[in-house]
Amino acid sequence: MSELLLQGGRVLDKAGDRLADVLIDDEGRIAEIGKGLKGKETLDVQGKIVSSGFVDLNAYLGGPEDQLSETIISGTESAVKGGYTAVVAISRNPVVADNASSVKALIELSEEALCETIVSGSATLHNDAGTMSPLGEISDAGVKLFSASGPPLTDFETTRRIMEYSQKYDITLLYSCSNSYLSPKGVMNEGAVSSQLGIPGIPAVAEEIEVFQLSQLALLTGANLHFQQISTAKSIEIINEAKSNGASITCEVSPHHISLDESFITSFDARYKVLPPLRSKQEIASVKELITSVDAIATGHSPCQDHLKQQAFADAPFGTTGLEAALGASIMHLDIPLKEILRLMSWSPAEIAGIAETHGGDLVPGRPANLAVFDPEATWVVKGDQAASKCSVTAFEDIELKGLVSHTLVNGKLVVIDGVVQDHGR
Amino acid sequence: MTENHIRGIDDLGKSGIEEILALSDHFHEVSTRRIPKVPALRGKTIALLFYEDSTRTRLSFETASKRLSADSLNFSIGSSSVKKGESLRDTIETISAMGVDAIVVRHGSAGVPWMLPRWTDAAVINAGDGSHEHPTQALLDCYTIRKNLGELNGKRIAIVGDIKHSRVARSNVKAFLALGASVTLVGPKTLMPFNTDDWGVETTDQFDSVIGDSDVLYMLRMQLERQQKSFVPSLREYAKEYGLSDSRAQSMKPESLIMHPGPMNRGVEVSSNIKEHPKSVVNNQVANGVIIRMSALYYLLGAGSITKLEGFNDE
Repeated sequence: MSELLLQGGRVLDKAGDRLADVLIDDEGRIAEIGKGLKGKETLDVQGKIVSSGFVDLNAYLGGPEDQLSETIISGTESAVKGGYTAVVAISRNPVVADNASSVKALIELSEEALCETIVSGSATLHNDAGTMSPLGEISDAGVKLFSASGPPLTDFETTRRIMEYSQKYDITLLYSCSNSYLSPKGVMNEGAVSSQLGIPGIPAVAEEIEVFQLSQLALLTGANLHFQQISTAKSIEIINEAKSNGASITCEVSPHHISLDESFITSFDARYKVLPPLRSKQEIASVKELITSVDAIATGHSPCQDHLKQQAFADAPFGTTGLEAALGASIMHLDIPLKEILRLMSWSPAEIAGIAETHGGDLVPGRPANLAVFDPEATWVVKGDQAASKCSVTAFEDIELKGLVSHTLVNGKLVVIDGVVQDHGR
Repeated sequence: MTENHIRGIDDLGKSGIEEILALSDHFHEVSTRRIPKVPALRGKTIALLFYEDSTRTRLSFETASKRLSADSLNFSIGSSSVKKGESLRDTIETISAMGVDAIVVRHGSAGVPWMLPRWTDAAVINAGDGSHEHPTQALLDCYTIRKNLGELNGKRIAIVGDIKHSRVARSNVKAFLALGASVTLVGPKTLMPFNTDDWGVETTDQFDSVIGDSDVLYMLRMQLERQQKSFVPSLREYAKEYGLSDSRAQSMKPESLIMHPGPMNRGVEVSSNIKEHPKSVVNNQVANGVIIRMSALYYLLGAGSITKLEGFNDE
């Protein structure tokens, strides 16, 4: 690797916003930030923002048991194309990470990744809430984030034990509050649209009840919790109250939940079938008002085989891709300063994922050059067939977004140039 | 490629409904002939694609196709073939490749008729999608009411029972309102849709409060398994609160109708002999089903206009 100069961009990090060149040394570290720098190779990034790369807390990248929805390679190609330099890989059936050897297999697979991939474990056996998995063994393999949900979450005693036991290993439990006990057949938000379409609904209160239950257990036990894909304003209020009472809780919101509402489902296209479901316009407006108290934007990137998403709405699996659209959806739909968007997409999730030493935060000499270069004003229209993800069916199809990544650097290496993922010899 | 479909009542609007009802008067005349068959759709092919069990609706469409001299292809696809893994898309593309002009589809999931035009140029008729719509049922109900009461405009219609899970109710509400009737939905809150604010209807859980004022009592079929899921505590209690008993029928207006989309649970939503009650037009509904489906097929595949019914002569 030779020296690389990012010339003429606007550097934006926690310290603020300034016009400056960024020099990256031949070991892939930031050497210097300032004006009028010189380097062997120069990349013109005038008019663009240079920031720390984004960190996704919630993406499914396949695994040994599932290479059809996504692979570690296609998934991280999608990630770097979206400006991500680190991704937390979440397990989803049939991929389970409930024992040390499964986790080690996932970690081994992740060596092929184009960006840093943080393997998460499952806090319960078979991704099911019934029995605790060997947290200590898995944690010894280097895992610090554990998915702890699994339908149905009614076994409060096991949940409490997991929260208590987890603390020895200083791990964070990830909860997706999409329990189905209030609406076993529900596939979309319950409201005027579901009533009209005759489609079984999932009430917002189902999520809110679960968020309340878990946040009270967090207060009782002192465990570290992170709530995935919060989709209602009331959930955020419940979390904020628990935080102010001392709970160690963080939460994320997904780009599609702030940009797409339930009315898209009148087309009956299963690309809009996600869990938690797309909410009402009013709910989205209320969530956006509370966005500054949210800790992260995380994609919930959940690719499915294309043909499965072409089934009838009730029959298709839940999930949409999100890694490539996240920045554009956030800038387009959140009326907050760019700095705040970077907090949500990079700085704060880097801390939650425990990688703040190398990702997010301040751009200062000596740090690995994990960087995103993007035009915050560029508008573009999403076309799923141009995605790097294996899954071309996305809820963002034909949606106009604002903010486009042109370059991504992982440890100083340009993995995306002018929006194109570079050939990485695989 | 046609943009003409009957997937839901909104595909027709008031003018489309009126046109199909007017066509039905002509096809009613055809049905009284010695040989009730016309060559109006000779050479057209109609696929009947039923993902859900159906006897009366499928037979009704099949009879209608034959009376119009169209060729019909019968695909009865049980849930097993979905389990075998053939996707909806593959099935539709296969049928489409055989060269069909219209696909009549019934499916357990809402919205399937709206997906079909992505994969076929054929006209689509919805024969029932999940709990969403069943437009030809609504058309035949409108036709039956018009035949018996003269018009729908200004009439008060109560739809009674499991509205939440009823595609018949959703299509009928739209069609009845389009033709100027007012609609009250009657049932316990457990069987009501969560939110009907935009429907333009009244709702009540007091059946007895609407009986004397209604021109039509439209009784919905009660799915017997609803009791197991606690939508109602018992079928006996449901029958007591929402069943059309002989004594309730006594308090109906003189010129009023009892309707039911069938098949009936005698002793649950209606007492055992209601079908034979003088106000009952349930048998009319079935007979009109064939006529309406002839009209619907002709509306999509024929000349379309009632003024020049090509191929409309007796064979």
